[in-house]
Amino acid sequence: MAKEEAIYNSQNFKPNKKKVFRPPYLCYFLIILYSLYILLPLYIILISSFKSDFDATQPIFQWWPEHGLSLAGYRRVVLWWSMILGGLRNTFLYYLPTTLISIFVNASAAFGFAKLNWKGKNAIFGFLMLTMMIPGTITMTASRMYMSILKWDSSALPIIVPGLFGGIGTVFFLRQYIMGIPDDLIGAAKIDGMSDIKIFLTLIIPLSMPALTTQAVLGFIGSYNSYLGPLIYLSTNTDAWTVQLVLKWCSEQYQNLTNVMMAFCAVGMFPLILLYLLIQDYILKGISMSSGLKG
Amino acid sequence: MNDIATNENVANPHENMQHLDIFENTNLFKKERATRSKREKVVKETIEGWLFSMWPFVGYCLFALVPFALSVYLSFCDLHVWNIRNAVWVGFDNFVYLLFSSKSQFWWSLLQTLYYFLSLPLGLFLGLGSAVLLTSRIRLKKLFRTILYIPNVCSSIGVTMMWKLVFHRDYGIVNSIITAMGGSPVSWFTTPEVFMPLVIFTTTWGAGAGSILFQAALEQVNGSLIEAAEIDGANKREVFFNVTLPAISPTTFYVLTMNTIGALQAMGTIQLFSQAGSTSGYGPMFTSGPFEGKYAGMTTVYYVYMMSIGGGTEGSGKSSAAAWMLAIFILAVTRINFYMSDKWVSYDN
Repeated sequence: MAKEEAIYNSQNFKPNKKKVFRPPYLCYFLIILYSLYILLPLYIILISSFKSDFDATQPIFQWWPEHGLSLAGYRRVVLWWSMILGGLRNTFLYYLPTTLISIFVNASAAFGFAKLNWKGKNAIFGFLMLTMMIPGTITMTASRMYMSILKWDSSALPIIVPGLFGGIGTVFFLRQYIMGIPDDLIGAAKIDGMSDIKIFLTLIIPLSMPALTTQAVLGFIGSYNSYLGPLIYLSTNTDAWTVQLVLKWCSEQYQNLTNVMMAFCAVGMFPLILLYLLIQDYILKGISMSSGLKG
Repeated sequence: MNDIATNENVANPHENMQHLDIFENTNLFKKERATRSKREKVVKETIEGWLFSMWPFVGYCLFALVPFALSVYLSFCDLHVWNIRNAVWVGFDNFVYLLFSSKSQFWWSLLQTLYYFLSLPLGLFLGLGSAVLLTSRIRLKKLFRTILYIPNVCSSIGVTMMWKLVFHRDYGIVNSIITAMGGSPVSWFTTPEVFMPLVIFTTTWGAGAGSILFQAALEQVNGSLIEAAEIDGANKREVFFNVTLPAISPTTFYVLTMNTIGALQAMGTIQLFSQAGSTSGYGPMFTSGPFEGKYAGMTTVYYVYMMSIGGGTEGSGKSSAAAWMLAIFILAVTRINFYMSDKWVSYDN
């Protein structure tokens, strides 16, 4: 008895009653420091884009423009407006249908891997997982050659068509999600005489809508930001440029006017950051969900 | 009427005839038919499963495996235009050139790739560190979480422009701090010694994606394990290193593997930074010292790119050969990664 009492009274066993809550100052300090590291460059973009030409080209960087805010940078951006709009149109034209189709294809593949029994399922899934380990960039040159054999080079097809078949990363994520849908539900639907296709269209898709939306948005953000593919296949054809190529080219016309450069940068970056801030709940939940399966 | 039924009827005249009639046209008591229909069902299910799931596989075969095979062929050819008919078979010449020629930058590029790997522990440290901070008892967690992920929705073009201004030779903030402290301004994008550190530094800006994954893992660590350790008298640090860290090791492994693959094919930033320094697209060149004639920031993937698509004189044959040797290198790294993972990744939570 005495021994047990001693254990109970020992410091370790007592619940944290005695502890006074003290805010973890060090944690705050470090996390604010890290946040500043991320936010300061963004602030620099924003403030520089609103500088006048004179303030932007001062050797001492000004955290707040000496001569007040100015729209000089954005006025130059407007000069290129038709080109930027053309780029935006191309980006949406290439990537919006691709994103939508590929998310549907991914969902269908994920459903097959998660809920259907068929021969070769594990082999195919394992193979696809393995391909994630092989970086696609090593076939860069050969892909370029392949596209020239198909006579697809200097068109947008090389950046559209491969995307239509979906991607294993998204399939993996959606598969985990669909596996969470109860089998009983699908069994009941089968007893009611529903075919697999009907189950997929009327049950699985509506039920996994949050995951599908997250993946579609993430996929589109990635495509919108993509640069190497468009650069390799479209750089010779100005009319086919995506918005990223347009912004890069335009900003290069103003190498020494940092306010104009940053105005282009802001036009390219901040709409997406705003979009992200609006739906960040969805996105962050989606990402942590995909990891939760591994942890 | 089939024979068995008839025989049975004869043997047992009082057997209920009606039952036999009912089951006659069903599959229930006929083994042969039952298996056939089961087989049909399996075939049907398999066809359906393939129709549902084969598209990513088909896409991979068409747009990755075919180029893969093509690159094997190309690596034995000499070719400088985007027309396969002009390919000239040269045997192992490309490999010999890359491995032994003094003009080849292959070994140098592998070295640069390894150099770039420094961003891995940095990213891991930042991701895990911020995740630990964000799972501690602080307020505004959601706000910080949101901030950490922002870099991952920014385009590489925009991010490069941003760093171009921050590290601008004449108007950049870093150089104005250096000059304010009495130093002389550094030309960040054209000085070979600082080029790679710059690339690595800017890569860490996007380490927040790992942080989100680590947070999810940390939240899932079994609380009773930590309690048990605390009862046994472990202090906070011991709990972290002996309980928490092993418990999240699968996530660490996942992030590490993905980041390794990412680092091996990172070239968007390098390409854009190199172009910021010179229009040719080659990074800054060492003009003296032991690395004379080598380009800073020339990782192997970027070398592969520059030899063919980037406009280099080596052509797509040598480029493909280098890509294949890189593939072997990647295979080795991944193999080491998995081998090591046996020692430190634990899957029992």
